[in-house]
Amino acid sequence: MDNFIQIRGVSKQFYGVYALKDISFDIAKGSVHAIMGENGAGKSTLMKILGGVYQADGGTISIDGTVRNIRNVQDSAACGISVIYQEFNLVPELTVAENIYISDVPKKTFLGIVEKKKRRAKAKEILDMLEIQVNPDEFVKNLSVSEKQMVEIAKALSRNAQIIIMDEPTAALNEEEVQKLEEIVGMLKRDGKTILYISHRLKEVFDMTDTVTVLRNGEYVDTRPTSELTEGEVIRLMVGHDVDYEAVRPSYVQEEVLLQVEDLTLKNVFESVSFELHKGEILGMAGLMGCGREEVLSAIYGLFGYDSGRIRLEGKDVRFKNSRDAIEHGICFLTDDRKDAGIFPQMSVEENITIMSIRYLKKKAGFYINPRDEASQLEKMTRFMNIKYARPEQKISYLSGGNQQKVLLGRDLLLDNKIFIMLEPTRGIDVGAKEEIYNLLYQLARGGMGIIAVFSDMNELIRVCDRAVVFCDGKITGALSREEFNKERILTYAAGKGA
Amino acid sequence: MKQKLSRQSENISLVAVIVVLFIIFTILQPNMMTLFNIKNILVQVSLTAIAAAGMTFAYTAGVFDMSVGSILALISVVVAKVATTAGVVPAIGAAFLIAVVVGILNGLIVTKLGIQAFAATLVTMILIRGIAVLMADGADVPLYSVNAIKFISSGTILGIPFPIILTVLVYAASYFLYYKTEFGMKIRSVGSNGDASRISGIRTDRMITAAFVLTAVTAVFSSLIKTAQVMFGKATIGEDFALDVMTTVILGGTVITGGKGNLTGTLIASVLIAVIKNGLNINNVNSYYQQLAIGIILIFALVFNGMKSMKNARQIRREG
Amino acid sequence: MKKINIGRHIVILILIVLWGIMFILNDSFRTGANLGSILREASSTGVAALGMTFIIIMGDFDLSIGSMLALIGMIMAGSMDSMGLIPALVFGCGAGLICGLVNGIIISYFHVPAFITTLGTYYSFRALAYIFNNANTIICTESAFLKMGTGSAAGIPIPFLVFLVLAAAGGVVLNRTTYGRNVRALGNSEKACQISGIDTRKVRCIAFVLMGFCTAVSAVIVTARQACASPDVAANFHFDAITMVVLGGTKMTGGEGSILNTVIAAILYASVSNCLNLYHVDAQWQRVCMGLILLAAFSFDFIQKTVGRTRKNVQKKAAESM
Repeated sequence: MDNFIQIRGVSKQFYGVYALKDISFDIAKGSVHAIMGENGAGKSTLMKILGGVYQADGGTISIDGTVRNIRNVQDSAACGISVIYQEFNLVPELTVAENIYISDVPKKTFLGIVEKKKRRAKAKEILDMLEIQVNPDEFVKNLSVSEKQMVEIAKALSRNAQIIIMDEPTAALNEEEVQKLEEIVGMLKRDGKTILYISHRLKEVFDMTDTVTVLRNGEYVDTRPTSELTEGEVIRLMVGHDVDYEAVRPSYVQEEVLLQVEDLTLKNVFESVSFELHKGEILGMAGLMGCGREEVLSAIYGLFGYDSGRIRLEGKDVRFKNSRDAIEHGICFLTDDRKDAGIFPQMSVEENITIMSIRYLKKKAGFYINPRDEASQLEKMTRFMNIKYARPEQKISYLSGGNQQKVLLGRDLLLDNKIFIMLEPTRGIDVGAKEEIYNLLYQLARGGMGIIAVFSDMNELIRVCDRAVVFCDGKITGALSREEFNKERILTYAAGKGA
Repeated sequence: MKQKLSRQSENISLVAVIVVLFIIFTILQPNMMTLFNIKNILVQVSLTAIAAAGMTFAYTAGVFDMSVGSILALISVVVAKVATTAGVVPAIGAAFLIAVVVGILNGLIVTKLGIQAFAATLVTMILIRGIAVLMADGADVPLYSVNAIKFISSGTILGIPFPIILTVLVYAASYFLYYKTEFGMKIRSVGSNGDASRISGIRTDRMITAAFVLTAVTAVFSSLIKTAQVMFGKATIGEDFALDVMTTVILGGTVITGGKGNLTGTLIASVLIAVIKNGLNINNVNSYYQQLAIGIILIFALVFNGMKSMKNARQIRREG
Repeated sequence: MKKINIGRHIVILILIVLWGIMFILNDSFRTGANLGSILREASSTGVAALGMTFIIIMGDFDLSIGSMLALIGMIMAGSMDSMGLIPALVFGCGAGLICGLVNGIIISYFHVPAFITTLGTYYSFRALAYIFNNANTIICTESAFLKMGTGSAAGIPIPFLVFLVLAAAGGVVLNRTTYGRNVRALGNSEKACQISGIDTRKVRCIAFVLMGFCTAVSAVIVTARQACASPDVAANFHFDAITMVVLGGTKMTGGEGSILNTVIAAILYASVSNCLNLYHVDAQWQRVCMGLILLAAFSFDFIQKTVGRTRKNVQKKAAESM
């Protein structure tokens, strides 16, 4: 059965932008089928449509020859689909066993009494089968990130579904656990289950899967047997053109040290983190999910505290009480959570870009914000970064991801800062805008700004940064200069080996 | 384990406060310690404790119900009207029927119209009170002709006042529902992480509506006791009932943001509040001071609750 | 395609239609005295609705203002005879600021949800109002004070002038000062505010203090109009003020709102209540009516969304059938 699942012409729009456009391909029964693509390619959207979280705007999905109308999560479960989502869908105030059997509770028919012992035993059985060392009675809120991920997997398997979708299941796992997952996938395959596997990680895809489907910018690119592909070909399919690893750009690194971090420690989060940032340098921070790099940077920016260690800014000891303090000292911060912690969705483009700089405008103009000053600020950044919007009063939520990101960058750049901390500056924006943002970073570095950037995409990190430090479990496990950049080395450091 | 211990210690400290207050009040006014007065306090407890049990479910599901005082009034009027014309049993039946309808209405407004629970029940609070007053035609409905109803507030079985028996029954049922059934687990799940619950296949809208129905249904018991006490169907009762019930639930240690209820704490806190009210009453303190005291207790409970959640947030951040 | 935003202008449209109909239908509506009383009524609650607009834009609520008003009224009236007009007004405003500060500190510095904090102070302030003079009403005789509620300047009621001045000030603060910008930002995204270096706690706390001040001004108008302060006054004041703000199109989830619309909604609300009075609608029915109006205002987003969706579906169907 080569067409067990048939996806035909599936489309999905968000706010008028296509996240998926006319996707059609088949998935064979009993195969491990990889879905690959860059961030924003539409993989997760497609999986959420299969899982019933989103409804497709058009197209059909048929399973085993019958067209299925998946309107909600219950419908999806009825089709025999079980999904392991990227963001955890566990309930913190419930125990592991309760979470695993959340929708399919073992109970007596009389009054719906939960059979706790039976539930516990069944949960234990699954956990044992997966060799997960977690107490079924532990509350989920007390688990570590990788334990949560394993529980999420156990939950999906407990339903005994025929089709299992795994959305980047290894993002939070260490190598050993990835190994375990590979075994699990092999086992499921032997049982005749169909698995859709989403991952960026080429190695896993080549180790585990039978077929690869590549999506790019919400469009279908190709489906091929994994054995007929090479890594380079997959990357080419994903990116659309050959990745130029050798792209040389001049270095603007200056002698002068801007920021020095020594032995920064916050118990259980990060430990003796030390690094320095030069003027004109783009310093990359690599590591896997939950490695602590975002926390270190947030602590430097004053978003939360640290127990010990020191931070020196241009040779002077500083400790920022809050973000405002950091801003006053010329440090800026770009969030990776643009939607919830970046934009002010119901405010205009103009108000969004000036929200930080009006404080300083006010000092000049007194109590009142002069509309003309405001307009000139927006004007300045619009020209500098080529931001596209209909009117200054337009709400920012109507802008494309790339333009929203430019507004956020502009918000900080209006302050004439010295250091710019950026978390995932190119997340969720299209390829053209990515190029523009790289060029912006170079331009800022040339102007003498020090930039610390977190990229989860290794290719970007290698391309953009002058130097990289690699985190694992809250510690720096390695530092690499531009000449030493090499994916395998970064990955070994990120997995906590070497150093 | 650690969590259980901290909850126990919270409950124990509440009991300690009750004991201390009781001793102080007794010293000030020895009448406090009589059997009669203690029975009085317990009947007083039953009034808020029963509705607070339902409200604990609402809080656990992440919502709450400001209209509970108005429901009290509406049920009181309905019971009086029906009891005087058709008898006690139809009256009680009608009361529960109306409570279920009101609960579903609250639930639908919150889940289907997408209005925050607080705002939605603020509106229904006004509407339900309005309907109650209109039904009563601006006057109290006397219940003297239906003496049987008196049993609800002052009857005894084996020497135990009936309201206390009712309280025990309601709490037994609540414990069962909360800790033993799938329903209870789903309520906790919805309050703790709504999105995850929805993706896991729980119909969150139904759970929230059910929480409102439970609150309204438990309010019926409270209303019956109150109505039987005054022997009138009154559209004006329960003006500060919402305050009492909410203070009780929050003081009992239920987390305001949902997911974690504490039924034992609710029960103990309702005793505490009854002791304070009774103690002030028996010492001839003006009723306005009682109201002030409850308001201040609520604020302290909130501040305490807030500090606790701040501490938790800090810990979660540390654990990454 | 040009799209007129009906949502933004619907209040003024309804007001014009209502006034138009009433002018034609009802003789007593169009008398100067009646119109003046509508404006007075609108102002006494409207001033508090201005403060409430800030609070709701932040995504919070304040339920305690009715009780606060009663307390402030008692303090003002109680001190007027012994101390004179000006000190009494100062005391009243001071009491308003302190009450607001209490709310603000608990809400912003202890991270307690606003609705439940103000529910607590709702009962506490009311109790204090009763305690202040043993639940007795205090009569005000000072004629200069009474003028503030009942007087007119150039034919326009003084309370309405105060309302307009405060509304203008509120509009400027909300739209053209850093503080107002921060209030709106806070209603949009608290996380983004923290990253942008906005002191969210201070912003929130100040908004509640402003609310206290507005309530104090309302208390002056209400007390002066009734010529007495009683502890049970303004039982549904919070409800009326919230209705005005929400009717004015301020989203209850925060982030967006307009002072001008609140002013219009205040006049509309007072007009509706006036009409119901003119037709001798029972007070309790009036409450129910107002409740339904608030419910409709709350559901406005939902209605708009549903209408939008239906329209889109109809268009889609039409396109498919072609």
